[in-house]
Order: sequence, then structure tokens, then C-alpha cells
Amino acid sequence: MKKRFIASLFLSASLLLTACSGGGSSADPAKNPDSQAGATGSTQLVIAADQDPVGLDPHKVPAVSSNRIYSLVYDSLTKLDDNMSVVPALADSWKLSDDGKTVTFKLHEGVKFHNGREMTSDDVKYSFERILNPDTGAVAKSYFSSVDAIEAPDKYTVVFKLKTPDAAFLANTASAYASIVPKEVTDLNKEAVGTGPFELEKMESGQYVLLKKNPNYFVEGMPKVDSIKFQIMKDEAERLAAIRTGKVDLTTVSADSAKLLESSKNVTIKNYQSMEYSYLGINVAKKPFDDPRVRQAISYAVDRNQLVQTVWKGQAALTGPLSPAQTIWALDTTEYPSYEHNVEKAKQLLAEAGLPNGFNTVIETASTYPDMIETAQVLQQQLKAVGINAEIKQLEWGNYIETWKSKDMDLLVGRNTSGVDPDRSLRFFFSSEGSANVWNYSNAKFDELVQKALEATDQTERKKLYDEAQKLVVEDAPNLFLASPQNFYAVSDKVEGFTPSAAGEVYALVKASVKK
Amino acid sequence: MNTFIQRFAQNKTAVACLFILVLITLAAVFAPFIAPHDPTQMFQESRLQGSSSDYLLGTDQFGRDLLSRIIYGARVSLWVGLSSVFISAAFGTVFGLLAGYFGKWIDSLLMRLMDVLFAFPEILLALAIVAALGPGTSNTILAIGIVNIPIFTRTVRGAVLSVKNLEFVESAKAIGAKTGRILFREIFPNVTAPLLVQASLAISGAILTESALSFLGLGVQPPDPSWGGMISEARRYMELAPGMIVWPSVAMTVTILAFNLFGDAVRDILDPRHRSK
Repeated sequence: MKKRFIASLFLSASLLLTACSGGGSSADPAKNPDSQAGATGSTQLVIAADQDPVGLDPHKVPAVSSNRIYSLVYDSLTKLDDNMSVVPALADSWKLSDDGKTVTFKLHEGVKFHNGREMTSDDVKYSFERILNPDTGAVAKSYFSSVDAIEAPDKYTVVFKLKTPDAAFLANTASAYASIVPKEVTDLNKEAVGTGPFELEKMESGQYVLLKKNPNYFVEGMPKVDSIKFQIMKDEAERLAAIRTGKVDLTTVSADSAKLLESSKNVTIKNYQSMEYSYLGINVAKKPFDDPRVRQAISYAVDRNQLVQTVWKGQAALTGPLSPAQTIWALDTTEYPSYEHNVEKAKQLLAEAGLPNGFNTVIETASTYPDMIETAQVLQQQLKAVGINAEIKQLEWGNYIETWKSKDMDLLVGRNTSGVDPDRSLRFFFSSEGSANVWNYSNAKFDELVQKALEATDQTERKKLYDEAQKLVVEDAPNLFLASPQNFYAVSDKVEGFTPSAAGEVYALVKASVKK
Repeated sequence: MNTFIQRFAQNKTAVACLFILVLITLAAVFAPFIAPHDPTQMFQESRLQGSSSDYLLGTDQFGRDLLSRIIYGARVSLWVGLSSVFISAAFGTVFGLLAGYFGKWIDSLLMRLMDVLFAFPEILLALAIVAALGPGTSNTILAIGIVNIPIFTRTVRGAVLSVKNLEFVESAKAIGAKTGRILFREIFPNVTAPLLVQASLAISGAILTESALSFLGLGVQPPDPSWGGMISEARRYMELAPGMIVWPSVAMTVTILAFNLFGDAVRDILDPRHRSK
């Protein structure tokens, strides 16, 4: 009886806590001793974060909530600027051999880890070997599948030997998943020791993460603020209230909230075209979706403009497999014939496929993301017009991920980050061996195109191959690419120099300063 | 029975609540005839509108008519409320009769089992069941039905204990009546009153639980309207279209209040001890 009592007490307590967490944040910055910094002349940037970080090992943890924190603590060999070009970070320069199979990096001299030790080529070698070691389970392992060997001939030189030329290699070294970590730290989830602009000061689960400025940061004059505090606020309404009342200086908001904040006096809205797109995934192995005509019919039945207007309130762009933010590579959507909204054509294709009366199916999506649920509902209505009756199933997040991995769904609504390089957007998601190809899609011609493009060293040729691959995957339609949303930041007028872009939050944060 | 109707007619709250409940039930039953629009039809050009002659209570983010959705939502709420309470009442009655009448190990076994179910907070258990079975209306009904079994078992068991040693049961035994007859013909009529009261109260609880589950996205699946689901969707649009959250909340409050007050009033009428108050 006692045990049961304790168990029920525990359960009710946890329920109570869950119920409370949506409400006001318990950690009021004004009352918190950690934010007293402002009083002594130093500056602090308070950011509302929508999720707790779930670990800080940059190689192992892909979660966005973790990424935005460890990206500030670690550096990579290179980084991407606003125009998505690769620029120096820990590596000052690099050289590609003529056959494209050897990349030599010259490291910046005198860079120190937060523990005071100098970062050298040994750490770079260690970091990449850690990523490539299957036991690590690194997120970026497949990014570097072309790497054959890594050499560190002297303290400031690292040489990568590649099995095949790899056009995506340089852009991939800019990823935070390829952060350079010190070899002496064994558990990077417990300790965060990087070379980055900020050091981890304190982390209180469910409350806040406090970072303080790295005084020895190797980039002169950066970062501009003395500390950054990520205040955990899971509810959109809570973040909205916090930015209005000045409790936080900066937060991401939805398009709806952005509209509401437009009239606010002390808040500016900054937006940019994101790298994300929403999609309808189609299981190519399941009947009747194994018939390409059925998938084409669905594409003609879908009015993408209505999705842009209804779900994203007009704050999104039409997209193919590459988000329009990938300006150099993304094809214009007018290149795709099946993007036309044509109910008659859809019905005709269904009839040709032997399904003149349509069929019943299921659309699964995640209950956590309102935009996905709304997308599913609009799609359901549009499919109904051509006789396809879809039942919507909202799944809890863990369950949704399981379904995604199962390769056994019918239709699935989701959102992807198309990535900075077309290799990720195409090979990673749609090649037969692609780790994110859960749609059972396999087209030898597509596989060949993306592999050739990866090995191509000539940009024009690479572009031509990717153009063809994009058209092919849209025509085969294992996914319908729906809309690529704008992302919105609400920024307090106290903050200067924060210009968010698809290059990532970190890039903008190190340049941001706070008025005293 | 005539005195019951007389007393009922004198109780103004009971009559008023019954009137409201009948109205809601009629609206739910005749929804297709009453609702001005199809509850799932999206009028693209009329998103997030306020009240107008076309859309009496305004529209939601897809341009769906709120009034129609609320009327159809009543269907869902009542259906889930009634059918889940029917499940709990049916099982609860059988368990309660058995436990109360036979006592000994049957009583211990059944009641300890009920204690286990009771130990969980209602919504947590319902969540766990729905998570295991998958989302959807019928699984929601089943989950809420299971969650409420213990309370019915206890109610019925208590009523059985209070009558099982009275003379009419003894005499039924004495003339050789079979156990089944004693249970259902002699004892059962004496537990209907508390059962009725409990049922009317449990319906409002069930409607609330359904709303909570739908609010979390695990109950009724879109685009089918349910009040909890509508409130959940409305959170994002509270400032742009307040009607989206106000009207389903009003509908739910009125319904829950009517069921609760109705249950209380019926208890007062049936229970002599409460009558004077």
C-alpha cells in the first residue's frame, strides 16, 4: 500500500509539474542572481528558448535545442557566411589538390580551448576520427564517408585524403556536427570545452542555460556581449509575453505572433528565408502509391498556394527538394509541371491507374507542431476533391519519429532542413542508400546523378547534374515538397547588430550587442 | 415514481438543466439539419473572421464555420460522454454487485484491482491507455470508460452492502431463489438511484477528459470537430480571432455545468436526507 501511495504521489506530482510548466517561467531574470551582471556594467543577452537542450556533445546530439547552444561553445574548421559561402573559421586557409582527392587545411595559430590548452592539428584529427568511428554514432558520419585518412604533418596543418572527389566536403566541415573537440575530455555531454565565442557557465534543466564570453576568443572583437542566457520557455504564448514585457531580448516566433508584434513599440521583427520545407512523404512501396501515376495525381491535386496562404499566412515560398534559400542550386518551381493545381488531371491520372473512384488512406503527423497539423488538414481537404479519403492521425513526437523510421507509413506530413549543400538535400534524403530515405524510393538513374554530382569538381557540371536530379525526384514524387517558410525573430530594441539568416543563429549572435 | 416527477418539477435547477441538456442533445442529433455549413469545409477567402450573417460565430484559421463546428462538436462530446459512461457503468455494476454480494476473496480481489486503477490520476491513466492503443474517437471512449470503472464499482458495492442483509433479500434466499435472480431482481433495483446520480456526474467528467485528450491531440482527430481540439487550435489565434477560443469554451462550460447541476439536483430529489436542504 505504501509503495502504491508513493507511486501515485510521484505520478500526480509529475503531472502537476507538467501542467505547471506551460505557465509563467519560474526563473525571473530580474530576481535571478546570474543576471545581476547587468548592474556591474557588463552586458547580457537573454534569449527565449523553446526547448531544453538534451545533451551538448556536438558530434552525437542533433537536436536543434542543443545545437543552438553547442554551436556557441565550439568552432568548426570552416563556417558559412550570409551568402552560404564557405569562409575561414579554425582553419585560416585550405587547398584542394588537382585531382580533388587531397584537402590541406592551415589552422589558425594560438587558438585556445576554454581549459587553456592550445588547439592543434592533433585535436582536428581526433575530432574527425571520432566522427568517423562507428561506435560514436556521430550525426555527421555520412557527411564524411569519402574520407580515407587524416594526417597531421605538423602542429598547424591537417591533410584529408579522400577516396573520391567530394564537392560537398568543404561545406560539410562548416557544420556544427563537425565541431573540433579537445581530445582529453571523455564525456562531452557532461563537460563542454570548446574554442568558441562562449563558455558554458551553468545549466539548470527546464530553466535556463547561461553562457559567458570567452575572453580569449581568437576572432578579434568578438563576441560583443559578456553573457548569453537561454531562458527555457516552451509555450509560444509565454515567449510572446516575455518579449513584449522585456523579460527577454530575443526570441523566435511564429508568423502569426510576428504579425501581432508588428505594432509593438520596443520590438522589431526580423525574418529570413529558412532552409526548411514542409513535405508530404509518400511510401513508394505501399499500394496504391507504388504507381507513379497515383503520386503524380496527388501532386496535381495539391494546391501549394493555399498551403502557403493558410498555414504560413503567406510567409513562405514554394519549394522543390532544395529550399529557395539555397539560391545557387535551387531550381525555380515553374520547372516542375506537377506543381500546377489541376483537379481534372489528377482525376484522369487516378483513372489511368485503375482508381477512378479514389481510395482511402491515412495521413500521419506530429501533434507537437501546429503547422504540420494544419498542413495535414488542408491536404486532406484537397485530396478529398479528387476522391482520396485520408484519415488524419496525430502522433506524439516519439511515436512520430518511430513511424518515420519504420518505413511503413502511408502518407506522412513533416518538415525537413534541406541543408546548405545540395548533396544533403538530394542524396541524404532520396538516394537508395540515403540514411533519411524512409520512403522506400529507389531510382538507379537518380542515384547515379547525385553520386556523379558529388564527385564532380566542375561547378557548372555539378549544377547541371543537380538540376536533372531535382526534376527527376519531383517527377517520381516520393515526397511532395510543399512550402519553405520564413523564420521570424522578435528582437528587442536594446539589441543591436543581430541579423538572422539561413547561415544560422550563431553567425548573427556573435555580432549582436546589447545597449546598456 | 409519481412523487419523483412531482419533486423534479418543483426543483427549478433540475428543470432548467434538463431543458439545456435536451436542447444540446437535439442539436447534436439533428446537426446536419441545423448546422449552416459542412463543419470541415474550408472557405479560403473567409479565414479568421468575426461574426457575420454568413458565419454567425465567425470562422477559424481555415475559414471553417465555427457555429457548425460547435454543433458537430456537441455530437462528439455527447457520444464520448454517454458511451464511455455506459462502459464504466456496465462493468462497474457487475463488479460492484459481485464484490458486495459475495464478499470474501471475490470482494478483496475486485476491490484491490479497483484500488490499483484508482491509484493513477484519471487523466494520466487515460493518456497511457490512448498512447498504447493509438489516437482516435473509439480509443478515447474505451480509455475513459476503463478509467471510470472503479468509481462505479465502489458506488454499487456500497449500495449492495447496505441492502444485502435486509429482510427481502433473506426471504428471497429462504424461498430458494437463484443467486442471479437475487442479484438482478432484488438487489439491483435498489442501487439504480445512486447509479443514476453517479452516471450524470461521470458524463461531465468524461466530456472534460475527452476535451483534455483532444487538446493534447490524442483524442478526436482533425478535421472532425471536438470542443477540446478547437480550443487547442484556437490558442495560436487567440488575439487575432478571439471567437475561436470563446465559443467552444462557452459551449463546453454550459454543457458541463448543466450535467453537474442536473446530477446534484437528482441526488437531492432521490436522497431523503438531502431533501430538506
